Amino acid sequence: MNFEYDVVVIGSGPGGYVAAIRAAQLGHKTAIIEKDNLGGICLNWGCIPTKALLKSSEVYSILKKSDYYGISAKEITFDFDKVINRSRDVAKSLSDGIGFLLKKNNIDHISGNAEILDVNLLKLTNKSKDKDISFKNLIIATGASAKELPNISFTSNIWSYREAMTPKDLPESLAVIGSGAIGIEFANFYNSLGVDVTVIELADKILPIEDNEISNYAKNEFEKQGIKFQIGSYVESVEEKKDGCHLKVVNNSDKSVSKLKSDKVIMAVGITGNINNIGLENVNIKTENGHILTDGNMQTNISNIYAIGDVAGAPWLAHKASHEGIIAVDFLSGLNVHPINNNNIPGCVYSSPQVASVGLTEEKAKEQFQSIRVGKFPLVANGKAKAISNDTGFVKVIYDKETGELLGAHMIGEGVTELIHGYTIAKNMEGTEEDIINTIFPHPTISESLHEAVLSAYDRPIHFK
Amino acid sequence: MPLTIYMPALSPTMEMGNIVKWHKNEGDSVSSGEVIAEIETDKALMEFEVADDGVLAKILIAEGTVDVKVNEPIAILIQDGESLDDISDINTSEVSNFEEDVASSNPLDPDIVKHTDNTDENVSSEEILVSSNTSTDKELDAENIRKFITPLARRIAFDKGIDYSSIHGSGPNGRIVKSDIQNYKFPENNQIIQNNMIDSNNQYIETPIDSMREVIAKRLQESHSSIPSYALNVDVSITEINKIRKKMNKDISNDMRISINHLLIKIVSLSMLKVPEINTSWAENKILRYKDTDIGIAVAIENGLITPIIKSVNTKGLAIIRDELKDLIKRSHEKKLKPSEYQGGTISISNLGAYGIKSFTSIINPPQSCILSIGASRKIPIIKDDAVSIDEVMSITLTADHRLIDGAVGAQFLSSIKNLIENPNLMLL
Repeated sequence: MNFEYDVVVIGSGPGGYVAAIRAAQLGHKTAIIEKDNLGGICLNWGCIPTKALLKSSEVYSILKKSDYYGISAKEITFDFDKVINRSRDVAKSLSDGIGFLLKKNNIDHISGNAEILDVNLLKLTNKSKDKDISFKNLIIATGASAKELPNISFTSNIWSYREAMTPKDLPESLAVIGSGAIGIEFANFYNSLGVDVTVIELADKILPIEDNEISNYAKNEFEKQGIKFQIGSYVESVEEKKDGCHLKVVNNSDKSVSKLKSDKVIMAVGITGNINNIGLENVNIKTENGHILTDGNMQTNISNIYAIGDVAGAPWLAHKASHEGIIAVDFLSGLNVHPINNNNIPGCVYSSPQVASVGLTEEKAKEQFQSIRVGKFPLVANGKAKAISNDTGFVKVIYDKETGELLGAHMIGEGVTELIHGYTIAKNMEGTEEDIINTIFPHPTISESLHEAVLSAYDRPIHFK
Repeated sequence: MPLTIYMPALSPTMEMGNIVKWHKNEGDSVSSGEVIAEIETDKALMEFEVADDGVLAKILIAEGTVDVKVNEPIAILIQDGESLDDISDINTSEVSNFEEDVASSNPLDPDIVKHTDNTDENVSSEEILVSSNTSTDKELDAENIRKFITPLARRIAFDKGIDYSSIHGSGPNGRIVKSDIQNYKFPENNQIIQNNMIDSNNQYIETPIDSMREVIAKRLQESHSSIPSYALNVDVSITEINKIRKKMNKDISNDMRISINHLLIKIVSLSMLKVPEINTSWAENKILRYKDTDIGIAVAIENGLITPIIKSVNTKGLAIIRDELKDLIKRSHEKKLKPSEYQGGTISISNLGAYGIKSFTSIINPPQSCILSIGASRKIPIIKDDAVSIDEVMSITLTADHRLIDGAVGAQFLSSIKNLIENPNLMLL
């Protein structure tokens, strides 16, 4: 039987467009269906534009303390519209870049909504007309949407990331519900621009998935910058009044209630997979807790239909989506693939200071392994960090004492998101402590701290005792 | 078109060979019939001659590599007007094939072995291991080096005493990763040894198995488990034959002397002619009965044994038998026998008399039908004409394949040998 396409991808986020390019690379006749801008949330409303915003707030912060570096800068202010517009421009140019890449790879970019009709057929709906498209293989990469709390919905005052990224005016005060990466990045951004920010977190620490020491250190740093935290608490209701949003905050342990008033609220309490309105039910694709079930090859229960990225479940990370896209395409092309090991997926928070980690936290490592070795190295003992006065933070590594397996690495400090890959490579290649100890790190760089942390785990640090 | 040189099958049973030495370097000209390499087969060291003229463009399997499969490409020969670039013309399946095989074969560089061991503090650089590594040998250690394995997986394998040479890695490009080692199941019998080792805490020295040991093990195991054999034993007086031998050896230099073995070979041959059922081979659905008598002599050599064969003994006199045997024994020790010199035959003679062994049985060496085990000569009192006198006897045991030789036939053969030894003048008949 002949199909119009060998591979059709629904969704052009970092999972979808990467899958499409890989499919084209392998000689498949490929189409990608996108109802919105190319690049998905990541590129248009997530990873990229937030980094643009955070750069602005970082520059502002640096300028404010320029005197410390012997530079005089006076009347430092910012143009909020320009900050926002720059972020939008960056997103636009990257989205255009995806269009260019698709074209270069002879991938058909089809605008519209897709609904699966059968195992080899989908219905495309767009402004001009509806049409059926037949496919040999389908990759669902529809991503996810921000979750709402049971009794709180998004409004013009209660923002999702999307509104938080494109406000008309800078609010005076802001309540951020949820202290994951998204919540912390927005809290950090707005706080840097002078907004009074309070973060409410249900868990008993901020950045709940990070190592305890990292969470505690980060909280301390953010508090120094003026962010307020209410941990172990949840927001029961938000009342929108003329004078702002009135939050009823409940302490989770003693159920005591406190009131909080803020101009705006950002709700960043997680995301849920976009599994509706794409016809999953027409072919009985199995889902669970808001995401599509797949195996390690990203195959759903329908053998020629794959799901990748956020719609296929946590961790909700663009780089995971891209990697899964490649796994799915390689697998359907008959190539040898290696399922993802979640412990080898790095996670990053682009606040100031940044947080980056891969693998198990010390707490989890203790649960899973009989005995571990932990090594830490403070950036204050690193020459380069001192030279550039970015010596806040530390690097921490966790090893299995028995085998020398790198179980986890956790870092906080300026630029650490650009360093975590060092440990990720070591972990992915199953290097032991020896492989890092025997590696030469360039001097002077903050990366030397990666080396020292491992030396420290084996009781032989050079620059710290 | 460049020519690929493959590992030759230098004997019918050869499955793998070791490249002991390359006589030519890459870039050397070679001419047809010239020896380019020395290859050790299961039992012999052989010179490998090239069949074509040309230039040895590339050596694919390094000197010292063991267990190179027959028909695996080992070198590439280019001819006049061709350049090394033409090597890429060789079809890809072949190339990928030998690449894979190169990865799984193993140059024996003890330094590499040592170095690798040294990287792991838990394993000493010597061959003494506290952990069990039961199945193979030098092949194993060396192969471990050539196997792609992550540092973590390698460390865990060493710590647990896992021989990962046979594990197929699930990582990129077949690399062995941690989970492969964790999922490794010790073969059951190895598990027992492993446990015993742990219990006793007894250190042991691991000796690699060479190709000869492997062949011995394989063949004898096969023989012992597949051939229904039985043994017959008889004491033979050697007084008479010794008298004759003394006369023959009178005034003859040491190396020209006729030994009991030479006489035995001849007597066995004569008895085989008399009892032709002995001179046979079991060939599954048929029995091969030979005309000439090819007799093997078990020779103990360093780290093993080999059974060179004196062909057509029925056509040879004692002096020729003596000279041939001497030459075969010498070349056995030098591992320079050709496969045709130790393969075939229908019977072997194993003499452990020199060790004072009184009598013993042996395992038949397929495709042979039986084997004679010769014990030490000893003096015994005998009663003859109601008087006690001294006789010198030796014990001969025949282990025979019952599929070929029934008990009575075996007995007939053994009594013929006894008769000829005790009445050597009958040999003249």
